[in-house]
Amino acid sequence: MKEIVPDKQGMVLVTLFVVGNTLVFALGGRAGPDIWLAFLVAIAVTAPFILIFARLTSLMHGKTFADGVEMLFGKWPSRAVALLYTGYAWRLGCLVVSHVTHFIQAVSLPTTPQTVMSLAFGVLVIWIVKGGIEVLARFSSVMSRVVLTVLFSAFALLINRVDLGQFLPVMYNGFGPVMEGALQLLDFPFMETVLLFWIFDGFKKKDSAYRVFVPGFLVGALILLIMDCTSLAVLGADRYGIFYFPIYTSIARIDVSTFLTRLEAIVAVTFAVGSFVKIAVCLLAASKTLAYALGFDDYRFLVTPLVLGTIPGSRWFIATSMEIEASATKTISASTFLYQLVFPISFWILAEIRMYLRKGNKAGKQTDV
Amino acid sequence: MEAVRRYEAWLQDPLIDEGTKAELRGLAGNKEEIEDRFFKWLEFGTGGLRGRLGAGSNRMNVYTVRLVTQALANYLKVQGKEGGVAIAHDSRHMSREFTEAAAGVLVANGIKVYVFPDVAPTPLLSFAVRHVRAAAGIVITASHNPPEYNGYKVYNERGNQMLAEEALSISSQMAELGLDSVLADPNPQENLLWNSLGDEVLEAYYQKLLEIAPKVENAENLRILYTPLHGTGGRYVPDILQQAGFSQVAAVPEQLEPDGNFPTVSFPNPEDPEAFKLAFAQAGQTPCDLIIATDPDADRMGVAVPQKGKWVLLNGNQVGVLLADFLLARLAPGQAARSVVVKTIVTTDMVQSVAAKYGAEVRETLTGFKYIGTLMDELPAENREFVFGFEESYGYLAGTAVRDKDAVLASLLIAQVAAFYQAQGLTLADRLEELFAEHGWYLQDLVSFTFATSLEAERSRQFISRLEKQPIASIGEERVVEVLNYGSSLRLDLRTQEERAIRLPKEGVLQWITEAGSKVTLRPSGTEPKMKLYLEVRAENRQEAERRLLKIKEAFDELVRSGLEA
Repeated sequence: MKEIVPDKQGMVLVTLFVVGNTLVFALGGRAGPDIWLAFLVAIAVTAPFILIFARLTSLMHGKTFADGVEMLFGKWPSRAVALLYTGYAWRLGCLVVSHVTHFIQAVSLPTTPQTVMSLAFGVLVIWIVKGGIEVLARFSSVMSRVVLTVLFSAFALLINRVDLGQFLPVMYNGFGPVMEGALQLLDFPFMETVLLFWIFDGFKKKDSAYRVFVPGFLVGALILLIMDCTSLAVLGADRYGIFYFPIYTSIARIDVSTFLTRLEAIVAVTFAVGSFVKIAVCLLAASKTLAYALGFDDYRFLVTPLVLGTIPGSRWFIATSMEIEASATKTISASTFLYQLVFPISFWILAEIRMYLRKGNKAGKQTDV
Repeated sequence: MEAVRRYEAWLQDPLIDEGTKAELRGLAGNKEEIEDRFFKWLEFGTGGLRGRLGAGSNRMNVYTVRLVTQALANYLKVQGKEGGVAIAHDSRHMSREFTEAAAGVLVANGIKVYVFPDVAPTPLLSFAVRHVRAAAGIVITASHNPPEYNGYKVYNERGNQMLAEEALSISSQMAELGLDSVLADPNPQENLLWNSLGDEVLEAYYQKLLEIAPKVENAENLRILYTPLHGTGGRYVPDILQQAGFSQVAAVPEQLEPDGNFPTVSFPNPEDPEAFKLAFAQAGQTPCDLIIATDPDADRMGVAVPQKGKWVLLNGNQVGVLLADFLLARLAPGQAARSVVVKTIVTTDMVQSVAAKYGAEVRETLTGFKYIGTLMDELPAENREFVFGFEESYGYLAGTAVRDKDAVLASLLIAQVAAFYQAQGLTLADRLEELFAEHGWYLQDLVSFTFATSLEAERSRQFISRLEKQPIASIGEERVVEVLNYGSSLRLDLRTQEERAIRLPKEGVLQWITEAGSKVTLRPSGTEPKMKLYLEVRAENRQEAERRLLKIKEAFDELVRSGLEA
């Protein structure tokens, strides 16, 4: 049975996915003081793609994304593509597990093995992914209030520590660092939103996809822009680029009359919640694409092995804090380029062609793909 | 098997230099040596790293230094600690190379370094960390270990040696790393993040020490003989003594220059009477009133004083009591009531009586100056003032400029005490006798038990476990009245069976207090198959104290022997 998510809940899910595990990292650090420009460039570049993805989903209205892709490519090629996305989604899930367990271990539980933390996350992820997209979207909707309240409170308390001079001079080193920062942001986390298209079974209305993806992405990007720029303005560009968790560090400096301190622990919880949502999305995408690729109707029996696989997987892909930082600050790579840009654009172009041809065949009577 | 695999990996690793590989190739076929050098990575604890110099993952070399420094860099970057890292080193082999290796890793990670251009004492590093507001400090030293050893101590931003939680964070970072994950700048001195610590820091340090220990009269008449035992103190201790007005300071010339071979001593340890041999010989030729020796990183100090025509070594408890008495006596009226002397649980209780005389308080910490340094930071919140801290192992500190034991300051202070009493016609030994007469005779002894075999080590653990479960009723002829189990943080009064909590971090130490006021402390080593027994008795006269000390020692020796056989 198809699970239909209300638009608002879907939008919140997209926002939490974008904010997800990115909240504590030095996003766009290569841009230095021009980080805000890097954000604007990255948002401007990503927004058309989000529109394209939304258009694609809209064209496939009434079908799951996998069914839509099958109509475009045929049965076996689409299954092969889905299998590739299984790998991409599962690997991303592993990376997020690694990020969050490394973070928790590094800042507060140095003696607790990461495996124990991964297992704890895993059990919850299994529960929520088996619950399906409706449960995940409802959970996101409820938790988003907590996350947003904490983040904006922290932002408000940091205001008096903000030094806007840290953003000057603008583009002192030219446009190169801005582009590098923008490319970092494109790879992680903006274009990762492509995974979301595999998890929704459908929307209420044909234009729902626009209402879910566009504002969801923009709100998430705006939160990151505000938090990262605030963090840089508090710490300075040098330290923002050096510290592994600069937002966490800058929030640790909140000290209101000595009684309101150690707020970073609360922010760490929001990071854990965001990461949890992102892991769940990744594993839901991995399970659904794998079920489709293997020809199963239901994905749920695949959830447990895939989630448990992230426990060793998180150690294979990332072993050290340095690798985490590298994975969070690298610019777009060839493999991610394939999943984040090449495939989705190919889907869209094919869908538009098919649409055009159908239009011609049915003499102006518009139908979906 | 793991050791051999790691040995082979080092031989193949392009990151390992040819000199190291040549040393490793020389081990081919020597399974025991390969096992010893590679069965693990050197472990990082609150004391940092310490080990023998040489190639291998279980040895001190530039690779292990780089690895732990990368872990430190990661820790600082995770915790968002800014301000850079101050680095000092002692006179040991490879100390300068390790300093540059550590600096190379830090600057490659974008972290500023403040490096002493020459050998520098550990307490000066502790001071420098606070002075330049660094996020951490590193000292390359193996303290008083033999020449084939070196080490790596890490300090936090307060100038304190890393506490257990901080050390755990670094060791967990270290456990993740491999040689290939280390970032290193081969020429750190050319990096903009490299800063040399100049005389400005040294002058500020001296200034602080002179504030803590203001000039005394008669300083110019005290004849001091000093030996740094080839370590870092050679420049600093004579300097501060001169600045404080001690104009008759001679040094043992053979031991004055820094030398990592420590050629004139078997152990560069001021606790070892042999370390004073050359000083005694020189004192025989050129009379003096006081001999001071400091260990290679100048954090611990030994003292010898003339008594009835002979040189007598004072132990750490005795020096500590003399210094505490001197500092407390000089406090302004009303200041003593808020003053605190800090000692460790195995340090003499005589200082309790001395402090009580002046109205000051004594607080105890677990063994290790990191605990004393931490407590120092907590006292101002209680409107208390740290005056002096010490431990029986020759470590002393006054004032709050430094957060580790400071032999440079201690040398100045003990010289002041000696000069002060010399003006009254007394030696330090005479003053100590006065204190004994006033507060009672406190005598101490230290016995070490080493378990050569794993069977012995296992039996020792079982023995300690039995002691925890079944309290000893008497030691020799003395009835035990209290048992303190620091592992479970409980203090049991055997007379009333009343239990009270011990408000200290947990550590596997057992302590027995007898009716006569004697104290016996059993402290197993956490890392080696060893345990130490600290004994202290209090009596009305020396003969009685010596007799009881011997009895307790014999009784406990018997207890341990039978315990290990059981």
